[in-house]
Amino acid sequence: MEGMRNLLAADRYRYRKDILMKVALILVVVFACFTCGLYFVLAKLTEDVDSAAVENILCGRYLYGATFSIGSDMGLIIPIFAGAIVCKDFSMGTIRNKIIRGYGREQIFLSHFLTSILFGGMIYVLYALAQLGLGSLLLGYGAAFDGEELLFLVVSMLTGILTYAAMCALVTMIATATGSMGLSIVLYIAFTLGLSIVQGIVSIIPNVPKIITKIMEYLPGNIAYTVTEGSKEWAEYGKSMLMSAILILVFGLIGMTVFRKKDQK
Amino acid sequence: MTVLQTTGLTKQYGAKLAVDHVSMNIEKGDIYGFVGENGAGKTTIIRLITGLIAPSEGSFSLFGVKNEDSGINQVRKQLSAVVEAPSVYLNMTAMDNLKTQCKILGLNPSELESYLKKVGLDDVISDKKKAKNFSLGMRQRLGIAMALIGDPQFIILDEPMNGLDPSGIIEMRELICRLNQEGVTFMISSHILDELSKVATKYGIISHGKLIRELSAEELHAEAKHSIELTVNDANGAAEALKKTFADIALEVKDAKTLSVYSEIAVGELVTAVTTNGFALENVFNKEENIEEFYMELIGGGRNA
Repeated sequence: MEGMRNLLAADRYRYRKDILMKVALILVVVFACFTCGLYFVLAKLTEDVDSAAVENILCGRYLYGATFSIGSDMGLIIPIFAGAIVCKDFSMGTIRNKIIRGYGREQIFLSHFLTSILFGGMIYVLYALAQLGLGSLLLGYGAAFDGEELLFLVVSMLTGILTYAAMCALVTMIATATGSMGLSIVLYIAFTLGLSIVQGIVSIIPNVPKIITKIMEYLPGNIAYTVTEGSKEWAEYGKSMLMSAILILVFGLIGMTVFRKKDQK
Repeated sequence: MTVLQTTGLTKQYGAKLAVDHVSMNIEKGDIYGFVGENGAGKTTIIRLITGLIAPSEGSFSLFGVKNEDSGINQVRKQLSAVVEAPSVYLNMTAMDNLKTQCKILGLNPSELESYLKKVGLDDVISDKKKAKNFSLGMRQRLGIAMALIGDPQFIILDEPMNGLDPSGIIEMRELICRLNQEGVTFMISSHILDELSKVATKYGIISHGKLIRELSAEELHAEAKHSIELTVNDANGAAEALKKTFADIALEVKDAKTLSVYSEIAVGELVTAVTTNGFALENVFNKEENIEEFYMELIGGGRNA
């Protein structure tokens, strides 16, 4: 346990010192300002339009819900940065130092895995809060803010954290297996794109087994629509969180199994 | 006390046998010079010992703990190594690198400056320059400074002189000797055999994945060929004259003006034989075969292994 604590402390320090951490924080601000600013301009341009649909979109809650999309802007950038930071430990040869100094491969993998998940979750929270805060400030929240709405924010944000954690777990699994930054990014993008294509195909094919449609339905990122709608069907969030947790576990187990057997250069 | 013992250590990559049943011993206090040509298997053996790769066959023990035992990772905490390129965080300063190393080892980051001073990196102590902007030699020094943290009892250095300038090589040699006097055991692989011979107390000579010889510096000294080297105006002519004078003389013409005599003949007798036969003697001195010549002859098969 003490060894694990040491590795986690070292990896956290490494993340803190990495330029990508600073870039991610800058991008959070840039994307939030850009998106909210754009929506603010749209709101000004559509002031005369009397439409509930437009009102539902041009508000802080919708902008907050948009942060759940893992296929665009920060949704794509956060896992890629996490994978890049993991890969730097391989490309700089510093992972050798940890093995030589008596750490087991399981410990090294777990430390990378947990730090990467923590990084993804933390940047996501900052991004979601920035979109929500700035969006609400410029456009209004978009609904009456009561106790149930607060619960919605807490539950959905937990779902979001797990969603990003699952994506960071996936990219960490790929990064530790390949040790190559370029290959990890390409494989990650290919995997997420491939999944969207499969989801598209499944949705148009008739008589697809229910289990497959259910799995597809609760894959990370698919909760975005539920959140943007401000839905309070808590079971939906629960299922999404469960799916993310299962994926984190699966990616972790696969990653550890591969990394354990891997020779290090 | 045996620090490292390998028994039939083997590593196979497909059909290629990179390390072929190597059995070697390093005792506490040794400075083990690991010698071999490029691709001989030196770095592969170092990787096996440091746990970076797993052996295909055979085993090794570190401080008496076998590599298959559960305690091997615990015992590795007494080991440190710089394998090929130094393990340095390029996006960090020298001090941040040392702090990270302290965190990895669970140590309180104190007196880190002393590690940089030890390796001659005094001028980067308060420098904000990142390691990616360091020269190869500076990175090498930083890698060694990181390896020293935690007071390891056994340090493996793979080509530590790479990238170092002449003064850096001297400082490195002094550092190795100083730490060795404090009880640290070293295993050093190097191509600069002359430099290695200045510090090594024991040698392991490897070729094509096989350990050909393991011998102490004293044994090497005893086995090294001693010769008398003569510089004359005509080496071939002088060699013929010497063969006529001394029936069983062992000699070798090195070039047009130089010849080496390996037989135990008094210098005076040789000088007399050369000059009385009308050759002009320019120089004469006693010569002992150095590690490079010993190594070349050994891997060339000229010496009985």
